[in-house]
Amino acid sequence: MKIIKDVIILALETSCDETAAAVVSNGRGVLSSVISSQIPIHRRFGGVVPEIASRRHVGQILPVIDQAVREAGVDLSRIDAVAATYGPGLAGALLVGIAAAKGLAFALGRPLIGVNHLEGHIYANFIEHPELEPPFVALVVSGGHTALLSVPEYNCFELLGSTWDDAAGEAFDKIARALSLPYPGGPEIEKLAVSGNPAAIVFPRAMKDEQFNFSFSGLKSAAVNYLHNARQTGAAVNKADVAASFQAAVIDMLSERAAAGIKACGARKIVLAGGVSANGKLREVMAATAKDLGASLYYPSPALCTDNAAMIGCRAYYLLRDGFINDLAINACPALSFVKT
Amino acid sequence: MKNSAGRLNVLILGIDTAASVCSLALYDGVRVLSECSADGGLTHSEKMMPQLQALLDSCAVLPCQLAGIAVSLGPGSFTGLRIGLSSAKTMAYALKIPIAGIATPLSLAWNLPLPGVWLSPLIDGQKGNVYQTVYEWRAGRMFEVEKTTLKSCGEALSFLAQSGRECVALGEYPGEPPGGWPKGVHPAPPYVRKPRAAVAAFLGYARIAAQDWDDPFTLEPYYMKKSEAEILWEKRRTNIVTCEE
Repeated sequence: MKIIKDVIILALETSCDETAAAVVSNGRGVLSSVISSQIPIHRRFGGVVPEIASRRHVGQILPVIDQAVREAGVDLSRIDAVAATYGPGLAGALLVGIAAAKGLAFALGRPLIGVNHLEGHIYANFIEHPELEPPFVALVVSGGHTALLSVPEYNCFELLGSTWDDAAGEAFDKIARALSLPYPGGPEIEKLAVSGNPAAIVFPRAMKDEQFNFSFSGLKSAAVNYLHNARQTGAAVNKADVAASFQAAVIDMLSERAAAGIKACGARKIVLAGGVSANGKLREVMAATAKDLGASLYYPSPALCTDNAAMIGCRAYYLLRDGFINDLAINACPALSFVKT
Repeated sequence: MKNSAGRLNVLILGIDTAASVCSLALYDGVRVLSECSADGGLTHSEKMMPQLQALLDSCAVLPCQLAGIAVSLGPGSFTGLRIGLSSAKTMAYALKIPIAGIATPLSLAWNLPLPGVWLSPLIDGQKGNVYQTVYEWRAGRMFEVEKTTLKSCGEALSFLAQSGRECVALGEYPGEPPGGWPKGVHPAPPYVRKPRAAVAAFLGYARIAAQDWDDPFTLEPYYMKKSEAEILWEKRRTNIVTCEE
């Protein structure tokens, strides 16, 4: 008789302003997922302060790990591997999670798995949708990244295109700040846009000739200039119209490139990932785009769109399954992008 | 298990990543079983855990044989401190063993327990500043003469020069002073200048044996100052309040 044991992974995520730990069974079963958010701490600075984030991670890491282990109801000795995000992200913040994971892996005598945060975001979809499997096209949209990929199999990522300048989420945050909205700006713009007219202001859709790449800095400047000119001429600004028009421009660019990706790969599935994929309007437009092309759209629930460790545990499971483990010398890679494994 | 003096084994792992040197040691209450200090080269993040693996292997010790962890808490390099402490915390947690935080200046003073002189650890505090502490070793005990304070290098050295005492400067001070070392102030030789994990383990052993340990859940480095962003934010807020007044 063959006894198949569940593979249990303890995963950590500290790449930015969330200290998170999760216990994941066989890649897709989330036994626990604990997130300690620092958003209220950074709000008064209008963005994430790296030194404050790193300090907070050191204070939170063990309580968060302990809570995840207790909520999962597993003994530490039952953990088969320890995973941590090793990039991209803030160097000082990443180092706390990596050092903590190394300590656990060493003390428990278990393998260590370094996980690419962006790949983790894509894998959040596997947790949400048990039936989902590669191949698919993925659109990763977050505060730090905007990328379009083809994912033909579990440990293979082919980058189709990415942003030349700002990430979509970054543009959202900058315009939110220009509109005097609180940090983080993405959800605030979305809220304000509901009562605005998306056709009120025509903002540029950059790089129409590019098939898969993105650019948001021109759009960002156009929106900032619009507000600046209005202030100088004393013209009234309808903030809701600005938010709606700006959001529409971002979503247009994202959905156009995604459509091109689906067509080029002949994909039947398109997967959204990253913090901006929590945007309701983006989901709505992408659903229509997918439907037109006969593809199915997948995205995680809002809780799995933002940074969490469950997605890191899920990604780590498939790395472990194919023998991709790291030694104790692994370092933080703040500028890590998509790498072919 | 007994140690080399036949007493109950309390094998303590010492970790010091407060300065540029990554130092790890195993101490059993009588002997320093092994110590490894690597300065320069790879980052703490890259070298600390492989170095720990090699240290334990060299003594044929398994992680589960450790009885406690002593970790240097600073002040010092914020990143270095966080790397050492984060791994120390999770190891203590997973192995269910106590952790004891050690002040880096105290550890430095114990590098050179000599009577009759002032021992002054100077730790780089950035922007031409140092964290200065002054200790004196009398009758086998270390006394703090001056508590840890952030000051300019010049102020720290004149404080020692004006004491009229023979002083030994320890720690990672930023190079030779512009006007040379003042009369009566002597830099420690390189082999005792930097933090050593054997000292942290020695001090941690005493604390852990006395059941005076720290809570790994709440233990934090000694930052000694707020982040630049907080300092600026508070300055700006004070200015706004002053203007409104």
